[in-house]
Amino acid sequence: MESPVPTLITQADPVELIGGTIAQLNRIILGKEHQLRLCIACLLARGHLLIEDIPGVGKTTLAHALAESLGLSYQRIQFTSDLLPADIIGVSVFDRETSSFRFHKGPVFSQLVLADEVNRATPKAQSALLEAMEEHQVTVDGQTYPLAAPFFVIATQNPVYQIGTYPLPESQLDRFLMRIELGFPDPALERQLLMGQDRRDLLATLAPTLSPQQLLLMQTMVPKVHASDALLDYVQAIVRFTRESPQFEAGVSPRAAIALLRAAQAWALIHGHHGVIPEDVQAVLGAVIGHRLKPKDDSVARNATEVGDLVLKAVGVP
Amino acid sequence: MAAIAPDRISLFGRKLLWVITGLTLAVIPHLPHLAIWIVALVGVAMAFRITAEIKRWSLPPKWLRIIVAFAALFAVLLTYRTLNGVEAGTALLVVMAGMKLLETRTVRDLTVIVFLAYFALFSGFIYNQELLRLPYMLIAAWLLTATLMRIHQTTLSMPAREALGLTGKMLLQALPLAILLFLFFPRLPGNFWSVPARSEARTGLDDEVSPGDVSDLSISGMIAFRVKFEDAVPPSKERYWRGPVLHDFDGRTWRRAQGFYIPQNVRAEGTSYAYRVTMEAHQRPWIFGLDVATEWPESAMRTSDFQLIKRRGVVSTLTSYDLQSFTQYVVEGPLPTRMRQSDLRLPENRNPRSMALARKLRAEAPSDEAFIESVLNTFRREEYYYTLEPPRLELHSVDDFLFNTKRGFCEHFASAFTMLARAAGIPARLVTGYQGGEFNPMGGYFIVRQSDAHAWSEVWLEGKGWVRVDPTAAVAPERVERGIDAAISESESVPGRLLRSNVYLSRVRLAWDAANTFWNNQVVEFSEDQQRWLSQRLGIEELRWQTFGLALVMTFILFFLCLSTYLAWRFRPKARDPVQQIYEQLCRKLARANLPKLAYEGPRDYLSRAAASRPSLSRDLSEARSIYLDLRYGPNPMPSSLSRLKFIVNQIKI
Repeated sequence: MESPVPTLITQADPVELIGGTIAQLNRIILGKEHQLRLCIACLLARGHLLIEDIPGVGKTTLAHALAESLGLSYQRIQFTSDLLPADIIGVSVFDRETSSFRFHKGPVFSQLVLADEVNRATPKAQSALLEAMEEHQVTVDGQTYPLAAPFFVIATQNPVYQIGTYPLPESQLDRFLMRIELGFPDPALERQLLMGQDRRDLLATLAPTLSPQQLLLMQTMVPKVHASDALLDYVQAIVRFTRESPQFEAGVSPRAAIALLRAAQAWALIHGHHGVIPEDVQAVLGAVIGHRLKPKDDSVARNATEVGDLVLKAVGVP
Repeated sequence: MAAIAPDRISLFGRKLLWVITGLTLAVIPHLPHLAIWIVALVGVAMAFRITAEIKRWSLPPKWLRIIVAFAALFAVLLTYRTLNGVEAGTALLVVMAGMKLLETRTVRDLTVIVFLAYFALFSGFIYNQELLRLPYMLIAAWLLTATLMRIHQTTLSMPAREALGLTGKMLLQALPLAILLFLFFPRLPGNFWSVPARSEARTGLDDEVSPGDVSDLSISGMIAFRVKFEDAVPPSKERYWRGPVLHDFDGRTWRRAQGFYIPQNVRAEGTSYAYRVTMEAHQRPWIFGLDVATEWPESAMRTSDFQLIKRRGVVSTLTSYDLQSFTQYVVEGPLPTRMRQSDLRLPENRNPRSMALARKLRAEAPSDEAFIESVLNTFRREEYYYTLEPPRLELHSVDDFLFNTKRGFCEHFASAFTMLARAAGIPARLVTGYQGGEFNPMGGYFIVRQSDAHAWSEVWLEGKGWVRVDPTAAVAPERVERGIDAAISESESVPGRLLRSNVYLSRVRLAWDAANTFWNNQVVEFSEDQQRWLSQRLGIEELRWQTFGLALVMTFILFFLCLSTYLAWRFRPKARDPVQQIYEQLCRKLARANLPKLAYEGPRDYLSRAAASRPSLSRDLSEARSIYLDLRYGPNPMPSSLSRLKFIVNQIKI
């Protein structure tokens, strides 16, 4: 492997580092280890995350705990129908003393941004965030401001059948590397939740398990994880299936194919695989392509999870 | 289809055009049987659906579609007075296929219409099973299958010609299976398969005859039936095919007798003729046998006046009957009183001049036989003409014919003769049927057409029984000897005479008829009997349902086994890299131990699962797993570990 990687490995192994983070998060978010790992893989692959679920399953807690554990600056934006782009990006204010405009940075300038209930805001406000996500910088009054690094957006969304929402169009959904659901906890874990300490108090006890530098380093390692020809064959077989199967409106884009590979590489990295193996692809498959494919009719697959499952089972490992 | 530019119409629209074309092809065979409003309605539905697709109109709302569908249902009910039966059934099918067009949004809807079209197309065989229709049916089925494939393609990038070629190949591949099913699919005995009678126009001889009826019929070149003799063939003048026997005469029209007579015995003499009559559907119960039939199948019966009649129903489809006849026979007396009464009865105040003539001739003749001879001599001597275009007769039809027009077809002569005989006190009756028939040397059978329709008389002579007297033979002996072409003068048009006069045309025509006969006998009429015959040829003596079903299932299994073996060979994996080969070898080994790999299962998951369920192998499998993952997916695989992997896989014993 290339130069920067061995230095990190001498410092600490990604598996170990992430393992520690996961262990800590596991204390807060009970029984959702797979989702937590997806979440971190998404972050390491420099993607953004969309969590789609009903209120109260721990979306905000997850974002907050992640920020604390990774030692990232954290801002939460509650999306509402009267939210303006300036509320996200920031606003230029006239400074009487210097007789000039001064830019007040908005919440988007933190390292981890939680965009809560992103589908409740108007498309105008939504696109302000999504553009920032895409370009990693914000331009106001001709002046360009770079965003923080690492920059990670977790957007949450209520299921679209709820009233008074502006569902994100497919083209916008494509900007999110992954989409996950948290779901209800097991009865046993729920009991633990009921008996245990308040989550808010627990959050205060969290300490950073790795530094932003380590995080950035791991981000640079992700694209370097080896993907063999055999594995690329598998990724391409999946992509081809989505394009050729009559069950979907349209197949996934090349951007989605890259996203799938990056996510699988990130997954391989945090699980200590020297090269990406098919199981890494399978682990992230549902989260990466579920929201990018639209089934032609409901009988094929009702939601993103089922779509992921369908594609997984339909493509053989070459 | 080419009229619409491809960029103006969506993918779905183009699929829709295929479906509509297919549906049109399926409906065309039904056009003659469909009410005109149905054709119009389906046409409008098709036009509307295409326009809606091009102009992007929305389809009618659900409530409207439901109303239209129910209105159409009632209209069918009103038009046909039922929803049952062949005509109403197909009408309903076609109407509903048209209505279904109004709600086609998805590929699934299109598929439903294609299946309706298949059904409509093949139900066309209920009406018409002629060989001529077969090519059309095959082409339409081919197009429908291509349509079915087309609507399930995600793009229509494949050119239509290629699509048709592919479908044609698929259909050809399915052909052996279709033939097998045709030959061996169990045919249920009984009426289960039979086509219900339809209110279709009847053809052929009726059971009442007025002057002009038979000559009208004779203009038609349609085939009435075909006959194949087993060995001996009777000469032309003995080939009288007996049809309805008419007793009641009202001065103009002859009708069947009401009620039954006591049957009389027939003493047959001379040669017996065994033969098979294949009746075309004519929607009447009678079967035409050579005069007189002595043996007939159980489904038929012989009336007291020696006509063969189906016991139940009418001849509504092409049907064959095995019969035996003698052309020489004597009916043994005495004549039953009721039959004598009805066969002497004449209407009062009708045909007075003929009555007078009959009485005069009888008084002059020494015997009944002499009287008959003198009547026939009158026909011969005086200027009577045999013609296909007889003039219309007045109320006293026999008087009019005998004394004024003197031009007539066989029914005129037979009717006049029978009336004269009755007037002279000789019991007489009119027999209708066919006479002669054309021999087809290519199939070795006779074709009897409507143009061979004939009428003659039978008189009761004491001591001789019923004696056939054919007055037409007296006027135009060629009719009986050589058929109608020879008997009618050149100036009159006889259907098909031109065809028959040219040797080459004649040969083509006979060859076509032979092909038709083969189709009729071997394909259309293929039934339980033929199936039994076939199975006996194959060495199965007693045919039983269970054996048949079992054989069918076995054949199916065998067929699909062969097919899948071929496909497995055809799509066998190409030579892979050695790592992959060893892994596949391991997978096969594990599959034999009931641990088959799922297609989508990755190597790590699979080998872990195998190791978990076979703890004895767990060490080897774990090592194989890590070497394989490293070799196939790792960044710097060590080539030396390949031999290690080989070794492990080889030593694993299941």
